[in-house]
Amino acid sequence: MAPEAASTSYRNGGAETVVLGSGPGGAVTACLLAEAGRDVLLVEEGPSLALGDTESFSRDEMRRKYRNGGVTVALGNPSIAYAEGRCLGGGSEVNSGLYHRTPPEVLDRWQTEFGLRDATEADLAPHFEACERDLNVSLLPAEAPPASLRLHSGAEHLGWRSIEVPRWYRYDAGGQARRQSMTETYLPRAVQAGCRIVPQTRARVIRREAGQFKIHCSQDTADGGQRQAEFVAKTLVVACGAVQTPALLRRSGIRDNIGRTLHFHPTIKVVARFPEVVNHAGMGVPVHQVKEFSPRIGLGCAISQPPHLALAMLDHPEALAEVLADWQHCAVYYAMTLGGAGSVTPLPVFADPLVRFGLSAGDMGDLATGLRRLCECLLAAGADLLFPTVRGLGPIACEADLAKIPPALSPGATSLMTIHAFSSCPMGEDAARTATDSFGRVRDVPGLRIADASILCSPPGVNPQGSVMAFARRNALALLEGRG
Amino acid sequence: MTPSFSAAVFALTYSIVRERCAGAEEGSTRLLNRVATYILGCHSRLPDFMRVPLRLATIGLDGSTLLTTGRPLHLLSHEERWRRIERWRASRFSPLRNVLRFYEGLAVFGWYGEVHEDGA
Ligand SMILES: Cc1cc2nc3c(=O)[nH]c(=O)nc-3n(C[C@H](O)[C@H](O)[C@H](O)COP(=O)(O)OP(=O)(O)OC[C@H]3O[C@@H](n4cnc5c(N)ncnc54)[C@H](O)[C@@H]3O)c2cc1C
Repeated sequence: MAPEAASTSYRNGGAETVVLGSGPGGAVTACLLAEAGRDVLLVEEGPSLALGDTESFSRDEMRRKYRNGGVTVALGNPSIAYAEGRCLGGGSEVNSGLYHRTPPEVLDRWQTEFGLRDATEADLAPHFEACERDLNVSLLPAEAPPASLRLHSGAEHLGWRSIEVPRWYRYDAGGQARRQSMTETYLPRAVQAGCRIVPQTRARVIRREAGQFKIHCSQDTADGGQRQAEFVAKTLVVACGAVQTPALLRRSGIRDNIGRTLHFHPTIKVVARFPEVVNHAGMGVPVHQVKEFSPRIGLGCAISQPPHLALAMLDHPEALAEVLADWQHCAVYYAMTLGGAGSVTPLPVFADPLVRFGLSAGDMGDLATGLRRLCECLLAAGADLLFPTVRGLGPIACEADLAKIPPALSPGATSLMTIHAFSSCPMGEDAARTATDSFGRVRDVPGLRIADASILCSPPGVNPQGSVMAFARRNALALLEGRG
Repeated sequence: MTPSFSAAVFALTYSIVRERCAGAEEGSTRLLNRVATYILGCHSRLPDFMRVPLRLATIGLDGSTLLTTGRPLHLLSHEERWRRIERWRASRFSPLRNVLRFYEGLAVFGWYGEVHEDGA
């Protein structure tokens, strides 16, 4: 069940602490502050929907729980399609639940390159452990989906490291799985502890006046219209996600190192066809990932229901009908990289920010290497035809065909996507390149904090929600203890 | 006889799905209409700064056949329409290719969604 939303509009209301955005960063923060007895108001742009209100990975879910119905793009050459949740619970309501801790070598890099302090593997361990307990992070109780096992067997065949990634799911006695999203975990706890939630309310701009924040919002009304609302807070935590947080802050005149270093995990896909059945209606989330080339390149298996297969076949229209007729033998796989950088710019008049992203020749080279590795792995797994999301490339049917993959993919012919955005307001002590201190406090704006994927210093190279939650927890506790 | 955004979206949907997707023969009008309606819904949810340019580009495509055929794209036969779509898809002008890709992506995603998600 979605936690009950506040029934009053709180027009001219407020709280000691207002949290903007109820994704993993905002939900963890609001919950911990409320449980510590703080007066907390959580403002969320999207609707309050329960986990079961939409079918996972369906068009209905995209329409109701994603920003812009799931059709968002970072402009560049090539442009990158990206997706964000926009509902109570944010991305946690729509994602695959694949969990990783931040790799220790990534934390080391954040320390040396950004001056991030008190964030070693040991410092973060208690926060990861707490989140893992709260979300029941665990391995599958039964066998993984066949398409996932194929990838694993290909990697094993090549002697590459491949793991089953744990997920935040609970399983009932019958083996039925339930994703432990924010509306299932931290948000009901927050409400129980007194946190008030105001959904369908978008923060447009924030102003600091007389030692407190005024948050100017647009609120959806029952008749489909909008009205203005304003909230006041002593402490303001912004957790609107890696794209919307910098958009809001920049729109509010807060710009230092904000929104200029957006990072993604640029991802290329391949549709693989196998002689045997690897896919079925309602096939769950594939859980295996190949870690042999981590963190630079990660390989995995994606949601592979027929509509997703069709979308991944867009660069091979002549084979689309044939592949879809045989869809139980086909699945979508991906190679995920780290490269490129982008920016978020609010536009005058428009509500949606302009997102731009650039990839260098080297980044296109990494994508080509990732694609080659992925194809090698799938061929080793027994695939007989591979269709990469590159116009004019493939199909690939044997080892010799791998030579068709150029050393760097052509930007004009390559289709990329991502579901991982971060680093648009990096944290650390190096004031020249970070937006906040090591605990998410925005420089020169007392009382303002960021608690979402924006503060991750650079791409973690793994699915990011575990990192977002652990840092949100660490920073919320520091706030409560009067440390950071 | 005048170019129309929604008529153009319906026409593009019909052509793309009929040409690309299995099972979209005559008689699938109800499903095709649902896919086109789905695409119109997606357009209405696009980032606000993209909505108007895409709408204008679509109306432009619809009107672009007026000069040579006297009819907007949506009133051409499927064969004539598809010839033009193929030409635009292969254009060297990337914004034009992107517009076509937007419709192609949503049309195939929408079609297989209708067929498989809804068990129609
Ligand atoms: C399809 C998909 C699959 C994914 N799979 C995985 C996975 O398996 N594992 C993993 O680790 N990660 C995954 N991710 C990424 C993960 O979901 C995100 O990293 C995570 O949700 C980021 O949390 P966040 O708190 O930074 O922001 P978000 O989850 O984006 O939450 C931000 C919230 O703020 C709200 N908001 C935005 N602007 C405003 C505003 N102005 N006013 C009020 N509210 C606002 C939004 O509506 C949203 O609910 C996936 C993401 C997607 C989209």
